[in-house]
Amino acid sequence: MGTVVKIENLVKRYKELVALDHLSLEIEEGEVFGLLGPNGSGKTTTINCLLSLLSYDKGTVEIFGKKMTPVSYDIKKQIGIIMQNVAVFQELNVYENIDYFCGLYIKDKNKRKQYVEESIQFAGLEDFRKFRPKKLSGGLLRRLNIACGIAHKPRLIILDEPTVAVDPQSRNKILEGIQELNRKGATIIYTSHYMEEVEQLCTRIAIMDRGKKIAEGTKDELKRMIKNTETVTIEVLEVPESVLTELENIRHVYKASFADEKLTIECSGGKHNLIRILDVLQKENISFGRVYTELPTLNDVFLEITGKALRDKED
Amino acid sequence: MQVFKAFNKIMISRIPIAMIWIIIFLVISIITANNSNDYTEFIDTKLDICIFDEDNTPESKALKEFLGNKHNLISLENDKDTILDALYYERVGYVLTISKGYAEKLESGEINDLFTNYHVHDSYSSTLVGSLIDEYVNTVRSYQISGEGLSEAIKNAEDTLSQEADVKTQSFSEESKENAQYKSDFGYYFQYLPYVFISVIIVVLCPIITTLNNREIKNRTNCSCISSGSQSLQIFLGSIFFIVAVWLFFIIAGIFVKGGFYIKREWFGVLNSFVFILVASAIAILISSFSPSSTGVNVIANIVGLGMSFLCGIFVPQSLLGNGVLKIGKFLPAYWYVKANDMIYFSGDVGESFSLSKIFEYIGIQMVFVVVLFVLVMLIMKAKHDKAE
Amino acid sequence: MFWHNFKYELISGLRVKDVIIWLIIFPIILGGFFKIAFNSIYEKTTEFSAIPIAVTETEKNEVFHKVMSQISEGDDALFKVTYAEKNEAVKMLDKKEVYGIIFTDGGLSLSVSDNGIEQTIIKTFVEQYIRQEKIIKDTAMNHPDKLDEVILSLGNNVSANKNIPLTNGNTDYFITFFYNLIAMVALFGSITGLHISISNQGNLSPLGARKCCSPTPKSISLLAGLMGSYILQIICIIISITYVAFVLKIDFGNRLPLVYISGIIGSLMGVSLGFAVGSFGRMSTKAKEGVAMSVSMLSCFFSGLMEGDMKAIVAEKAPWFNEINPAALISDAFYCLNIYDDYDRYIKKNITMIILAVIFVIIGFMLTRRRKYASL
Repeated sequence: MGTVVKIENLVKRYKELVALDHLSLEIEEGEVFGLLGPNGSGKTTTINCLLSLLSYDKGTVEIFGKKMTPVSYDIKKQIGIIMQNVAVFQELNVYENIDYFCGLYIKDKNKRKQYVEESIQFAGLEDFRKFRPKKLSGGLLRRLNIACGIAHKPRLIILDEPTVAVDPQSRNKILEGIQELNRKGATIIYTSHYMEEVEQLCTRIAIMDRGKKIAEGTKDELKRMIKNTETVTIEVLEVPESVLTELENIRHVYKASFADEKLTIECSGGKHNLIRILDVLQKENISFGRVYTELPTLNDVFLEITGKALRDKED
Repeated sequence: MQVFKAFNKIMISRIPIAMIWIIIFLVISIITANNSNDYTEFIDTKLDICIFDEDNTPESKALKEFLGNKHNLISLENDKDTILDALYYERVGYVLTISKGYAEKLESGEINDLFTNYHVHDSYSSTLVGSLIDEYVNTVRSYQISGEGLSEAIKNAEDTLSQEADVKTQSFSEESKENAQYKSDFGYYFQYLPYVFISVIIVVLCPIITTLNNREIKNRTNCSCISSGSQSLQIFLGSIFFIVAVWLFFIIAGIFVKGGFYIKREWFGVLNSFVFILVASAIAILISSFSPSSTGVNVIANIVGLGMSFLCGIFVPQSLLGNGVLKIGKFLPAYWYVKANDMIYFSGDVGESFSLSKIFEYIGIQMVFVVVLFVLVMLIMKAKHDKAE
Repeated sequence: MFWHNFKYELISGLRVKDVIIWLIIFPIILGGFFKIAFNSIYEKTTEFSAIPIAVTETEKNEVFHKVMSQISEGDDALFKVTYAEKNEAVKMLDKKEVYGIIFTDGGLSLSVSDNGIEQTIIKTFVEQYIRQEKIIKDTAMNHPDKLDEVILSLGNNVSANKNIPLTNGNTDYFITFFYNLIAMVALFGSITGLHISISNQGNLSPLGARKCCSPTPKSISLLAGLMGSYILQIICIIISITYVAFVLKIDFGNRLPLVYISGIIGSLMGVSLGFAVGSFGRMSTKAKEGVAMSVSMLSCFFSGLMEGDMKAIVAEKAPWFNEINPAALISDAFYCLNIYDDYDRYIKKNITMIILAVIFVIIGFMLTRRRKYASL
């Protein structure tokens, strides 16, 4: 298990704007690495610099242990990319498109034929072989986009927001497919702003904001970075101010708020917070309806971390 | 007015490209206006000719001098390719070689093989030169037959040949004095305007309207409460600004080309051009309703522009076109434009005598084209709207 | 990898029906228009019908009257004569019922109101009449015994002037319009070349970006694309030339195969031109198409597509321009084949076109091979 991708101190400027600010990343073989961040955070810029499509001002990029340049054809052979914009020939049908792109990597005709078939099967496009991109729905088009990118069975697969505007069925298929590719040994870099996907898919995640990496780690590590470990939501008709204060005094509770007939209690740490909260309500004779308790999601992590960063800047 | 606003926004973004086309066509129209060939000038044209005298006798020199008085003598290298080039590119129109032994043969009355000539374009002028030479020889011969010696015959022949017909050009009423005010050279600038207008307007307007008619956007717009009639109207309105701007540009440029402001009759020419630009716009809008691709737009602009120009008398004057073609031309708006323009600038020449009623008739016919085209556009837009494919 | 690329470029190119159809329709329709327009000019200038004139015999001139009767008789009569009083004749001239009025008062004089072929013919006739009259008078005065012989000789005009055709080719003036039409088709092929460079540049299209990330060197991808475009354009130009030569029956001279070759070389030049234009900077595709189209148009204009004499004017004022103007090169190549017997100039034009094509391709390559883009 070696390092597949090593980015060190990457800086990319567009005149005044700093798109990438001393970014460093290391991705190990076999990982599904997620790059998360709002629009404009630099995810796509990072990918483009990584692929030597975009020039950068400072820093180094290494893939498979070698420096990456536009003419590193041996490295490029082992990379598959699926970009944000669908990049296929409008005039060629599904089969021909996949065959074309596979052919840019694989010279052997027979091998290529086999790979193309497998790719079509993988993307679930058997019924659409002769269709041209114009006739495909958004989801199928994305699947085609992916099929074109992975047909040659690359070691490293980079996907840049591959499920934008995709129907749930296609999305599931895509996510399953990526997991399968990973199981078969491919290293995956996945950028998205859909938290659920990243959460479901990625082994390690880096969160970016304004060209900087602001957090990195596994799901659990990231979740541990924030204060919130549990959020309890209770449907209540009315809660007096004093009760809120009492709730906040419970150990591990750091915030209690009430709005729209919902009482929200945020806890940090502790295992039996719910019992203690319900005790307080019962004591005060407040009747309640449904009760939910949720663990923090990456959404929370993201909002809290970036919220923090933003607030810090303003201070 | 959303469609109108969108139209203008797209238009503004396409201004750089529009300017390229406008400037190119301005250059084209100015150059052509300055260099126009008057195909119909036949009388008394002094041709550029070249004479190789292989005989070198007083008699041959006399002939050379005689011809030199009637036409311009140009000297060329006696090389086949040089001659051919000069003829093809019309630096000379006729090349005559006076064969060796000319004087001898002439004296003895033998008049075969006195000369050889080269010419490439069978123009009327080159035919005239040929027949002048023939006439010279035959006149000399006639005097010889009457008993005169060669040099005497030549002298008399030259005398006779200097007799010219007394030609008076009849001018009718004040017209020709009036007509003289309108320089025909400048008339060519206006003559080419239809070609320019059609090309520029199609190339700039069509892509914009096509964008608005693009299926996704169109469906979106159709779902709103704007009727198709209102949409069409807004598109037309948006176009009007652009059209008027282009028209003004060329009219103002025309003032510089002319070197003076427009006078009297020329204002009809200005009106004529305005009406025609409306025609060009209506054509462009009609074409856009078929949503052509960008290559298609360029090709159509050329086909319509060049085609109409050749068939209606813009590049080749109406006086030269055959009757069959002119019949076809009558169904095209540019034909009427040219008739009106001819009347203004080439009156008394190829144009008809200026008559107020006729001018309004020709301009009126063009307006009819505008209305018909516009109605067609509305019908097509409505059909597409209602069909909702 | 080259053949793989080439195969798909060709397939996708052929399926872009849009460009191909327009490139084929265009010369067909416009060529048809030209043919109709120019044919009709011949009708007017070669078809001859008797010219209506008026004759006002202020003084009776029997000889003249006799001559007039002779030439207004029969099927190939020169004039259609109406004898009229002065006022009536002038009215007829005004209404354009006659082209001229011949007055016989003492000598002959002529009144016309216009400057056209018909008027020139009348004038020439009158002049010849006057001159021959003088010859007869002089002879009658000085050598009356030879009068009959002289009159006989006047009736037997022999031409001493032999015309040597300088060329076996078609010297018809209007054929240059067809040459330029074919040149235009070749230059419009620049659109296909343009799209090759755009679809291979990472900063101009997503397809280009994807191609950039593949291990296929860009040069191979570009070359394959160019080859594909060349072939498509060659097909278009062959169809155009065939249509003009065989359907419209325009005479290209007697070396038609070489015409095809020039057309093909011209197409290669056109596609390469588009390729170079497409590689420049970051203008949008539409803007580049506009540039390619306008360059083609200007090139055709200066080669005489709209104003037939333009090439001659350029030859006078700036002859070097004709040597590098792509449209002029193509139509000149056709002209050389048509007019000249030897191949010198023809070969020179073709070589210039090939050199230009190579230059364009090199420019395109150099610009497209930028390794990394400053911005996408």
